[in-house]
Amino acid sequence: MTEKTKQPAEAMSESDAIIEEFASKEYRHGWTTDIETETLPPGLSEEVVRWISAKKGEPEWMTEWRLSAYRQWLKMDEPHWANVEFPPVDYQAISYYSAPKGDKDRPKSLEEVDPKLLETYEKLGIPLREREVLAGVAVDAVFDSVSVATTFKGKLDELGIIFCSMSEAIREHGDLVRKYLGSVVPVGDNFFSALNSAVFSDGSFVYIPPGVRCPMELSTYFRINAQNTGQFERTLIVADEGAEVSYLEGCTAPMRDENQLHAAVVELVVLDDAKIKYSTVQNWYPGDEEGRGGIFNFVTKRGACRGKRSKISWTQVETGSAITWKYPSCLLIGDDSVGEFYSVALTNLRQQADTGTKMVHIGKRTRSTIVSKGISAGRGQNSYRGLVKVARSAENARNYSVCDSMLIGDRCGAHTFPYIEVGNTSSQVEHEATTSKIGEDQIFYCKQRGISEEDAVSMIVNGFCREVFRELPMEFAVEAQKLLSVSLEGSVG
Amino acid sequence: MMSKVPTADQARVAARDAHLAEIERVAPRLAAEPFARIAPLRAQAIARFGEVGMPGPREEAWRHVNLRPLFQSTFAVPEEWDEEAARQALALFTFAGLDATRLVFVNGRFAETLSTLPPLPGGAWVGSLRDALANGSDEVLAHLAHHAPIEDTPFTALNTAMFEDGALIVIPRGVVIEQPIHVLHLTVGPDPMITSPRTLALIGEGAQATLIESFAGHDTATHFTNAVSEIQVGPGAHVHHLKLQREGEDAFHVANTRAHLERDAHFASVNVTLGSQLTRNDMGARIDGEGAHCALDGLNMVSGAQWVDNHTLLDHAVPHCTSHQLYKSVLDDRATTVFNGRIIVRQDAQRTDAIQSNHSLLLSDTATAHTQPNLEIFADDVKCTHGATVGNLEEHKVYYLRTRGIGEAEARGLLTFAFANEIIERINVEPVREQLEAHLFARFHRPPESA
Repeated sequence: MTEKTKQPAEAMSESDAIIEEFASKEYRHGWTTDIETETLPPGLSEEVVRWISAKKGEPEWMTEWRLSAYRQWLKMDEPHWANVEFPPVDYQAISYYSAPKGDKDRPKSLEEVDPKLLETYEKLGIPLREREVLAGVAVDAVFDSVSVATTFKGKLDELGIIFCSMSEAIREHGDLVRKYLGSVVPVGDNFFSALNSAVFSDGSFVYIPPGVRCPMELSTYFRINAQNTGQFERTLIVADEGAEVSYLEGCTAPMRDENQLHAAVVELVVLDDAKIKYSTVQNWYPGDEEGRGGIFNFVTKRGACRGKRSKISWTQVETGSAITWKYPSCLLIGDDSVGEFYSVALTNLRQQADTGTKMVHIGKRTRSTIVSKGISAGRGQNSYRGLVKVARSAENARNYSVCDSMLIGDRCGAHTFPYIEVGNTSSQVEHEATTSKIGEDQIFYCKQRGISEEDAVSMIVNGFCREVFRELPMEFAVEAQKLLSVSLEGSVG
Repeated sequence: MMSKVPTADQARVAARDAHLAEIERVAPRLAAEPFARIAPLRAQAIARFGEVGMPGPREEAWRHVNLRPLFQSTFAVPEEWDEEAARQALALFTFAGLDATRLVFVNGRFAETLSTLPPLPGGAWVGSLRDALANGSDEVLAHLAHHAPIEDTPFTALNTAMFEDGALIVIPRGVVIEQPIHVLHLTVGPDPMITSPRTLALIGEGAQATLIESFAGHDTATHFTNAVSEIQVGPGAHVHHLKLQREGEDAFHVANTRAHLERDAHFASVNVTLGSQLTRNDMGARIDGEGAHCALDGLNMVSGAQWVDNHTLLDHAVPHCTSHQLYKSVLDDRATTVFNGRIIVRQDAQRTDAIQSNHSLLLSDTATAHTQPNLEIFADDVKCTHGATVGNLEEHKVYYLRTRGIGEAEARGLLTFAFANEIIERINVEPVREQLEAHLFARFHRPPESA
């Protein structure tokens, strides 16, 4: 990320020409619709925050909330403790609001889409129709997933489940949002969460009423207005007493996005006997071989097990982004509550990941499990950073952590930074970590049986990650395996 | 109590300034004839300390240690010391039956009358660093502050700026010293003072030695010991190292120990912490030659409000080396221990085999253990593992002993003893091991109630 390539003058003029051509072409197609009103000029100020809030028709309390976040953000410094390197981000050079893309500037059909992207879809085995949606092709309003979504919506309404965009929730379910928003990740929690709180564009809101078990996996994919939620996404999921829900975020297909900085915030609230399972597959653009142009993914994810016997389970498969900086955490407040974290993080090319979890044991007999698998290939740098904290009050708490790293190639790095703090005698905390490479003998064994080296590596890596994939919902698990194989391509031999 | 409590930052700055003022006060002593050749190093160290100041909790390496009590006291550089008091104190900290070359330092200065210096074979030399500097040894200058540079920690810079004497151990090529070399740093006196013990050990190619560094005191005054030790282990050399800290219960102890290992060198260190209210150990080894092996072990046995912060660093810079670390803590009352272990395997260090473990045994609900076993690996063909556990004794072990007719209290005592003794067993000097074992046994053994 640190090197800027110097192009010879000739190449410069050539690329200038291309840009010129491109720009003029766009212009010929009449791509100037309402830029003044729909996209904010770069920069961040109180006016911008007010403007965003007004644009989204938010109530007064929400505007104030955003402003207080903005004021706190001003006093904070960009953190640099993570084991990643990136050029400084100019926060005044970012445009904090842009309206969803109109059909005009989307590709008209798959023929106009980057063939490399299509090739990846092919490898992942994504159905044709879905490919169009993923690639952002403008399609008629009636397509499969929309109708599917509508059917789903009916079922959810019947059960009293609220599943909608954050803006809609602020308008329609103001009381619920006001009660829980920012209660797990306070406005001034960290630099990026404060920024997100000030300018978040949209996101999802889920509320499961008491005793309801959500009959299907909820996924942003099925939410009609989920597209272009932008770079500052805000998610809030509340499971009331005895409720249960499984939520899927992201998808395995590579997502292109012109916003380089992503700073999302996810908050989960779980009351007595309730459960939330949150699964993520993240495959944002990782940048090219030299690490140029990849996404910076600085995410704050935290769940609070407020109720007795409540449970939060985070599962993540992180294969994309140039820089991933993410620690899904559990605050185990209720007695007998359970936190789980299953993660596969893969870094290839020049990707850097600093990811892990925080398990804060406060209630009695709280239990947590951490299973983290890091795979480094190419010039990737992969760090696990996790905190297990057992407060004095957390009698008989139990934690078990394993973090295994696998290195493929000799230009990559794998790092482990566990933090364990125990404040009482009745608790047991165990941490284990290993670092290894794929054994020559394993590869040899596979090749002997007619399996190519690339397939063998993919098999071994998938076996290495099995404990995590087992936690993913069925269809995600299958896709995740393919995704790993695709992401590792070219890293062997 | 003062009427206005200073903020943490003000306390840090005030502590730094107090140390700088003390350096200024004794400047003529620090610039005395023997130190003429290290004057530039001194100046750099003072500048460095002035610039970085005292560390604060916002720095990652100092996050878990509360240095506030250290900042609240003022420490003077010691003047004269009472030989009789030192002789009495010394009797408490020597080992019965230990036949050793003994270098005694009282309040940071070499006490020749208390030391035992039998003639050593093969041109080996053990003595005062101050004398060696006065005689102008180029070898000493080449290594001093080279393995523990002033950039290591602010306290290393402070020591480099202030030390007035130290132990110098030079074992030439191929010489085997059978008797252990015991360097004993003793602090005696009624007023709070700062001492800056310094050790430099140069172990030549194929040489062998056992080095015991012990730090002791039994006054109730809040002395501050700020030690730096550098150990150069030449090709194929074998060094056993023991650091034993038995300072007074109100003392502060900060130490930076750095070993440098060359090809096929073997360095095994045991770091035992028993005393002082606040201890910070930085224990590091850089492996710079193929085929070397390094072991860093440690035991903390703490109670009351004691606070021990151990940072280890194992830097694997070359291929085909092995290392292991095992740090254990037994905590009672309100004690706190911190373990921060770091293994770095650099890109060229293929075929490294590194193991790191940290186990803490909590005997009280108000004790706290922090553990951070870190791995930073840049090479792919390596075997690195780390493990950490924190908790109470395993119930099934207690149960097993009880089924054999051993009372619960005795069973727990036995298991605690066994837990701690795993480290003591690694000490290769028998009189020292026996005395520490006896100490452990007395501490944990609960004899069965008479029937």
